[in-house]
Amino acid sequence: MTIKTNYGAYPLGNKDAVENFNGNQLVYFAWDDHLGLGTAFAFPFPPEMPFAALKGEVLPNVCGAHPDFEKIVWSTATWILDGENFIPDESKNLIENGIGHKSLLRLKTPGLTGYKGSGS
Amino acid sequence: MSESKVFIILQRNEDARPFVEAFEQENPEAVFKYDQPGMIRIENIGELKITEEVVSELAGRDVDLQELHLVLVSLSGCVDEDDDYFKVSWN
Amino acid sequence: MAKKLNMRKRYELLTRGLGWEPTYQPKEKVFPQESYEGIKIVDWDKWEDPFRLTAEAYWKYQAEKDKKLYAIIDSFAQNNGHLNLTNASYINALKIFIQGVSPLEYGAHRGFANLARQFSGEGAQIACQMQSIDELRHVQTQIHTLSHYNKHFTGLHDPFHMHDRVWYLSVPKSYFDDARSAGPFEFMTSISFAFEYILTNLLFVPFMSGAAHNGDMATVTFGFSAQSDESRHMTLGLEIIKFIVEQHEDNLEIVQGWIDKHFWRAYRVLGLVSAMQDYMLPDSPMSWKEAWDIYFVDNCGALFKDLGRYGLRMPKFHEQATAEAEHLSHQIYFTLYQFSHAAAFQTEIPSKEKMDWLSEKYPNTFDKYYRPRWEMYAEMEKQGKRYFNAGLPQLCQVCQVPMCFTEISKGKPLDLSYRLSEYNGDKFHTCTDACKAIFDHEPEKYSHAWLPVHQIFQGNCGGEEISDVLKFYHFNPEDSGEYKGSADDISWRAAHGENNDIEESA
Repeated sequence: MTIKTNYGAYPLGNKDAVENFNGNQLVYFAWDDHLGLGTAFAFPFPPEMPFAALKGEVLPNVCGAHPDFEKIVWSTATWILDGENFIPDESKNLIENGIGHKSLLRLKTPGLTGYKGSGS
Repeated sequence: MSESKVFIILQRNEDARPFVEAFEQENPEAVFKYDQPGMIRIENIGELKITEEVVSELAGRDVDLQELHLVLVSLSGCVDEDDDYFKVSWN
Repeated sequence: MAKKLNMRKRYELLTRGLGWEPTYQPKEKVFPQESYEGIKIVDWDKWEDPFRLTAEAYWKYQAEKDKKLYAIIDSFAQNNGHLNLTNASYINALKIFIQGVSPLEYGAHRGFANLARQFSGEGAQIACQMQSIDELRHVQTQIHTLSHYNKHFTGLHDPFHMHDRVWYLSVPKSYFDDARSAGPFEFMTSISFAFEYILTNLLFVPFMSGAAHNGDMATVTFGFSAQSDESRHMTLGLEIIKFIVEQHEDNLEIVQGWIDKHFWRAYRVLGLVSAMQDYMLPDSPMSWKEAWDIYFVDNCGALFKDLGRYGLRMPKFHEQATAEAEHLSHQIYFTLYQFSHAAAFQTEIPSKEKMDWLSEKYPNTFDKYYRPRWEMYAEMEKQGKRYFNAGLPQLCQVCQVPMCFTEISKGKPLDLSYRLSEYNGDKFHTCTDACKAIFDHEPEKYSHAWLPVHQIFQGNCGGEEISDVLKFYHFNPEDSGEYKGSADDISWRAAHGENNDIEESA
C-alpha cells in the first residue's frame, strides 16, 4: 500500500539504518519465561563482538539480578534467533553467527521457568 | 427507539441539581448512579430528555438549557437540542 | 421588537453564508489539502454541529467555567490543599499527566487550528476553531493547576521539554504526531472520533473521579472543566464520521481503515492511563477493567450498533484490546517500575492493601501471573537490591511502548509477543498483530519513527551514560527511582509529622 501524499512522493528514509549506529548494530535479547526481567533488551553491539562476550559479559550484567540466573545449566540451554532454532558458535562473532542488525535472540533454559515457576 | 443504553454524566454540585432533578422527573425509567466520587451518572435505554420548562421550574428562574455545558462531564448517544429541549438518544 | 431567533436559526446565521467563492484562484488551491486523501465532500452545507453554540454563548460559558476553576485553584493554594491528599505517591500520576497528556492538548490546539484553515465548509471551520481554543484552554488550565504542585514536588518542572524527548512520553507524542502529519480528514477521524469519542471517557472520567477520591480537588476541577468541553468534542467526532460517510459511498472504506488504525494507536497510549488508574492512585475508585467494560464494551457497543446503518463496524482488533483488559495495567506498571530510574516519576511495590484490591478486581489474572512478580521484587528489595532494569528495552516500531505485551489472545499470557516485518531490506519489530498491520500499511511512514532507545544508541540524546541522557531530558536527580525514601516521600512525611526512618517492608 502506498501512502497518499499531497506534495510529491513520500520521502523514503530509515531512521535506524545500521550506518547510523557509529559502527555498532542493534541486537535484541530476551530470556523466555523470565518476565520479571522485563521486556526484550536492546543493545548496540560491534558486529565483530564474539558470541562468548555476549553470553559471558553482557548477560550476567542484565540478567544476573534474577535468582534463576545462577542456576542456568548452559549445556541444556537453547537459543532462538529471529524465530528459528539456533546453535551459536561461541568462538565466532555476531555476524559470523548470523546475528545481524535488529536480530532478536532468545534464550530458553529448560527447567527454569521464572520465580517459583511463575514465568516471572 | 433503540434498545441501546444512553448515558449522561454530570458534576455533583449545586449548579447541576435542577438538571439532575429534571432528568429524574422527565425520565422515570432512568437509573441514577452515585458510586463514583464527584459525579452522577444517569443511564437510560434509548433516550434521555429534559425540557427548559421543567428545568426552569426546578431552578426557580429562567434557565438556558445550554447552561448544561457548565456541569456536563460526558455523554453517550446522539445529541439533539433546541431552546426548549435537550435530548440524547440512539436512533 | 424583533422576535428572538431560535437556536437552530442562530446557529445557521453563525455558520452559513460567511464564506465566499474564490475568483482569482481555483478553490483546490485555496484549500489544497481537502481532496488528496480521497475523501469526497459533495455538500458542506449538510454539516451540522450537534451543539449549536453561537460565539456569544461559547464565550459566556467558557468564561464561567474558567472563573469557577480559578476560584478553586486559589483556595486550594491558600489552604495548602496538596497536604490533604491521600499520599504524595499520588502525585506521580499527575506527573505522567502533565508530561504525557497536557502537551497532547497543545498538539490538538494546533491540529484543530490547521483544520479550521483547511476545511472549506464554514460549519466545520467554526467547529474546529472553537475546539482549537478549547484545547488551548485545557493546556493552560492544566499548567496553572499543577503549578501549585510544582512548588512542593519533583518531576513537574519541564513537561514540554520532556515530552519531546523522553522514552515513555514518545508513546503519546508519536501517536499525536502520526495524526497531525496525516491529512485533515484522517486527523479528524483520529483525534475527534477514535481518541475523543471512543476513548477519552477512559482517560478523564475514572481518573478524575479517582483524583476526587484521593483528595485532589484542584485536578478534579480542571479535569471536569476540560471534560465538559470533551463532551462537545466527542459529539463532534461522531457527527463528522456520519457526515463523511453520508457524503459519498467511496468514503466508507477509507474512514473504516482510519478508525481501525487510530483506535489501536490511541488505545496503546491509554496503556499509561491504565497503570495510573490501577497502581498510581493510592485509592482507586474503579479498576481499568471495570472502566473498559463500561466505557468501551457497553458504550462503544451501542455506538457501533448505531453506526451499523452507515456500514461502519467496530474497530479491527477491538477483541484483543478487550482480552488485554485484565493484563494491561500490570504489564505497563511493571515496565514503569523497573525503568523508573530513568523516568521523571517514582514507583514502588504496591502495598498489601493495594495487592488485595488488585486480586479482587483481577480475579483471573493478578494472583496467577502478577502477584508472584511483585513478591520476587519485594524479596530483591529486602536484600537491598531493588530491581531496576540494567539495560534498555526493545520498543515497538509503531506504538513505541517497550515490548512488554504477551500473547494473551493466543492464551499464552506468559509469552512475550513479537511481530516482525521486513521493509527495504531491514527488520521492523512490532508488539502485536495490530501494530504490525499499521506498520505494513504505511511502512514508509513508520520507518522514520524516532525511537528513543535507538536514538540514545545513535548518540543523539546527550551522551552514552544514563546520567547524560537524564540531563538531556532535563531531569533532576531527585525526580527518578524508588518512591520510598524519595524527596517527595520525605517532604510528605515531614509535613505530616511522620518519622522519616523508612519502615522495614513487611
